[in-house]
Amino acid sequence: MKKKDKKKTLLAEPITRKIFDGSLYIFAALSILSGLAVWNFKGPQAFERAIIDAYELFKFVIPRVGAAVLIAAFLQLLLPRDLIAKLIGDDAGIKSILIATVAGAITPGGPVTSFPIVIALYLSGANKGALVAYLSAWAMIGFQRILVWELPLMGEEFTITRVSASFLLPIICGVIALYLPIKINIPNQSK
Amino acid sequence: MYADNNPTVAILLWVAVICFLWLAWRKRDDTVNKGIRVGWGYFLMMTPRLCCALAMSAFAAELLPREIISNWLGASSGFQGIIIASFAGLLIPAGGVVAFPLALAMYKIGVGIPQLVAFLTTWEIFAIHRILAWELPFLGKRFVSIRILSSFFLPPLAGVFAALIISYI
Repeated sequence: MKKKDKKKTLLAEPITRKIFDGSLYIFAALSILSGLAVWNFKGPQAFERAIIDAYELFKFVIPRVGAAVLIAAFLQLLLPRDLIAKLIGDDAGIKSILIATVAGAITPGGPVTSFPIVIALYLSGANKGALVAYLSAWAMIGFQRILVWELPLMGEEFTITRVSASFLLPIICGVIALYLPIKINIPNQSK
Repeated sequence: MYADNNPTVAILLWVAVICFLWLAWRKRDDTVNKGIRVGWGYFLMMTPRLCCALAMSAFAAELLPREIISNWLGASSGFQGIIIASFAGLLIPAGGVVAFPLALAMYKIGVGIPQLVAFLTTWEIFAIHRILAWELPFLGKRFVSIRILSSFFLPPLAGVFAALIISYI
């Protein structure tokens, strides 16, 4: 990838995956296999119990997922991403780590979006602490995964506990990374 | 877990949707339509995966060795359980579609919240497939070592924080 591509990725349109791709077939196969295993080893009653369980949870989850996907979509369209990248690149210290943590948390999508942004941030001059904080915040307190997966599936009590236990951690590892005596050297990228 | 079926969070989420719709409408351009289109795309993408995830989670709850797991990782397993859970998180080389159903199944069979927090945190920051497929090739060995050195203790720390939050609130 060239430098220009990265700039483009940073401001790119929201990425939507195909509905039916290989991964979905694998998940479908996995759930069918585990269903067969339950039927076989635990009996039809256990199978029926599991199906009812899953259906009840589905009814509970679907209105939440409906709202979550809309929030994810609008946040993605309304965020001033280029401004955030500039703020992170312009500062060399703790402030950039704090901004990077917030930026990571509001970065939607999977590694397809977050890793190109890390490279773009590196190219725009961000320090290693900010890069580590950004990636960790995206992974630990990324709003999209929380909204779309964690909150519906794990429930509010668990989600609130986990997020409160985690929101300081990207700052901690960012600060440590900033002071580690290793020089960062991202392959095939020159500043 | 869902016994009280509390609708507060669902209502809050929809209030947030209305706020975002208003913000998008204020821009007086295509943002409202575009947002709804993108959101609908997500929804279509999510729903079949969600069905698989929920089924897998319910089946996994039936299949997982209940006694062993709740002995090792139950709410009473304490700090030792948090450490075991932190390592167990390394064993999931897959995305949220697998990790969260598994976490839900573990929750159902009695794994403690601090242990589960540690487990998910490891998966979130050290998911092995992500390091191999993305981080090493794109960001390089040095970046990966900086990240491991600065973050390896975070999963147990998250577990301990979660235990403190639970016992004081």
